[in-house]
Amino acid sequence: MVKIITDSTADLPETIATQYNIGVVPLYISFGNKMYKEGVDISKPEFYHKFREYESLSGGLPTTSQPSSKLSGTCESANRAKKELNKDITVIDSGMVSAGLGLIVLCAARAAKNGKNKEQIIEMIEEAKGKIKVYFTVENLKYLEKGGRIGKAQALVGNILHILPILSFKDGIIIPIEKVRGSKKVLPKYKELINREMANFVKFNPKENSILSPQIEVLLVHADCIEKANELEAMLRTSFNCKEAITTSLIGGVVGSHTGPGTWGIAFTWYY
Amino acid sequence: MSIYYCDGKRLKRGISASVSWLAQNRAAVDALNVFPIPDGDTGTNMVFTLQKVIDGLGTLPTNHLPLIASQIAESSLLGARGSSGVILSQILRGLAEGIGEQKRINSMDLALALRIAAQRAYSAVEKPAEGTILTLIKEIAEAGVIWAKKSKDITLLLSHILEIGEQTLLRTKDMLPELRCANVIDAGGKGFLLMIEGILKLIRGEKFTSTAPATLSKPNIERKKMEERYCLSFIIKGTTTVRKEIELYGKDIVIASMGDITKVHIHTDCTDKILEIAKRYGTVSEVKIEDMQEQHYEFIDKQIAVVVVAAGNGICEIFKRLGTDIVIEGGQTMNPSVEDIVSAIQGVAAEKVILLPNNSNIIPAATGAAKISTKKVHIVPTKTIPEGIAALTAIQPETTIEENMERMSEAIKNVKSGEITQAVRDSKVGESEIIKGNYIGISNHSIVGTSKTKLEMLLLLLKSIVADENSIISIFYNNLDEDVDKLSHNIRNKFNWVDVEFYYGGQPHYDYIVAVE
Repeated sequence: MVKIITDSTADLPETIATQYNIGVVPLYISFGNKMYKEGVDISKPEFYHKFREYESLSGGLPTTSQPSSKLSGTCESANRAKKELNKDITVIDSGMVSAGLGLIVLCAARAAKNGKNKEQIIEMIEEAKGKIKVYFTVENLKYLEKGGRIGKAQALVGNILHILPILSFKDGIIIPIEKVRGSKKVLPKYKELINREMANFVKFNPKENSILSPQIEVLLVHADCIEKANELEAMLRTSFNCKEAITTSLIGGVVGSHTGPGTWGIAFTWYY
Repeated sequence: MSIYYCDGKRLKRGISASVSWLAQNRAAVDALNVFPIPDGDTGTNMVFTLQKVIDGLGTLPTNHLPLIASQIAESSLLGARGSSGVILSQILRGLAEGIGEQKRINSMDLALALRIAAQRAYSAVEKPAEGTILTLIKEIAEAGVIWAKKSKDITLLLSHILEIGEQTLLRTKDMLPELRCANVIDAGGKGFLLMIEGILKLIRGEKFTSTAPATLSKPNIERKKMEERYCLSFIIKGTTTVRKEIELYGKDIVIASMGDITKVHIHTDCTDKILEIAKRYGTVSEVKIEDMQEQHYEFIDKQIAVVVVAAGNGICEIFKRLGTDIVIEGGQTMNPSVEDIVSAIQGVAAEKVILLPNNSNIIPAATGAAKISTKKVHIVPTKTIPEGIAALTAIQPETTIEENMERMSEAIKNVKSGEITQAVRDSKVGESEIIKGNYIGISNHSIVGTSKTKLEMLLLLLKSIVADENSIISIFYNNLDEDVDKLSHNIRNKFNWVDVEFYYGGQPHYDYIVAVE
């Protein structure tokens, strides 16, 4: 049987990791000179408590060794580990973090549990990488800006007129895909984006003279803003045909250090 | 006007004037930036740095010159962005040191302070290059000292060093190979001269409206891979000896200290390593990392510039922060001329220009300007300020101009605008009698109603345009003394399903401009 191993930036709930026997390698977060192993020395809720305390006391932010500039730092470490161990290990660079990575891992682990072999799982992961879409929103762009993860001009725009960006990834870089004014417009925009995306995959089945609409699977993550996550979940449930239960998870400290609290978003994929 | 001394009050006013003039010309300074990294942000970085200075002065309840000067130095160091920001902070620090404990200074004191400023600036840079702001400050300081021996008039001193500075600036092109190749003058030096020019404008009582420079074309630079990808800056509290150890990991190092605070600016690939080292020396804060590679590509690829017509300092500031390259002063009852618009269009460093007139009376002049201009001008026929803001917000830098035009037209449809103004005389429009001094609400070019009070008129106007499906009301007020809390309370009571936001617009003619989305 194949075992799936990921790192703590996959932001999967512990219950899911246990259920699917997913190995999660913790990454490090440091507050000043103090280092913590994510999920081991510091729980996710503890992280946000500490984040706010540290920011208000020192004005500083926690630092993390990952995700690196190219988001693929863990892959390099994994490849080094692979060389040292004489085992059948395949390292795959997802090019994503948080919900995007989490959803790939979840799909792969489910396939492994269903007895799929290595080749089938690898093929499935490669397909999922192209299919999965990520949308997320941050309450305050200053955190992404401080880490150089979003252009200065974009960050500036976000800090006035209550403009909230809807962001995604392109080639491992964060890109804004939409901007809305006021938090009330965020959910309708998500709905519009998912609808637009899904419209590409609606198929007509001439044999049965019926329309085949894809179902979606969603991993929803949030950085200590459960109300936002709940509203988003309710919208997804009422507006879309969800194949699996929507998994909601807290964003961990490594990703949370870069986005700041008040970040929420989804990764989704689809099936017929 | 002759000026024989500078005290705290004058310094405050002078620095504000220099910031606002530099901010107006930010895009032009950005466009010159090719050294050390061609990423087009010198003007922006200098403005950001100085913005912190202005913020810091705002809360300082004194007119004591030494206190003000050292506050300026300190907040500029803490707020410094980019290498130009750190160098600028050291110039300001040198000035503060030159001022020392004097409550007022004369022209010679100022010239000598400039000399100290030059020394401070040089010592912050690891490998000082000639043909930059460093050369400029050195040469104007020397010229200033000679001049101040002959004349005690600070106004004359400033005009003289400005003139000398302009000459030096032209020579920077021959001093620095990077500038010669790109065929530009030094950006930081230009920024500094604009600051001096801003002070002179204040003294002479000249208007601060931007006269766009003659046709600005892009510097002659090519896309290139950065040797170091990130621009890292941070503050260490507790030490000043970090330079030796981090030198190995990057270049273009600029370090400045004040007391136990050290600001470090470095171009590097090893951000983590440097931060790790820095943490051993003291408490690290204000860590900023910028991806210069991406900024460089953005700068090179910048093809679309945005020019808008607007009035009111708050409104203009909002447009600038939304990404406008040039704001042409104008609006209701003060339409800019075709030439004004043409010169603004020619003055931006892009061949394609999006133009937002923001007033139906200005659309004809905008159309005329588009015909004359040698650039490709796309006019989005915005008729109001809210339409202009909505259009600008909809722009996505990653997409084509055609798609952006579509996005903007769509955005305009989704915003409703309203204005409130005061009647200047008795009149009759249709059925309604308008009495001089009463407030008039306007939406969609027609009068919604009139009222004796501003608040009642605002509520009436909102009632006529806010619908169930709307989610946000933005109100731009023109009076700094507006009681926003009270206003907000009144509006939220009646329109509890929408977010209500207030912004200082400072616009002439309208007491309120209202955007409903």
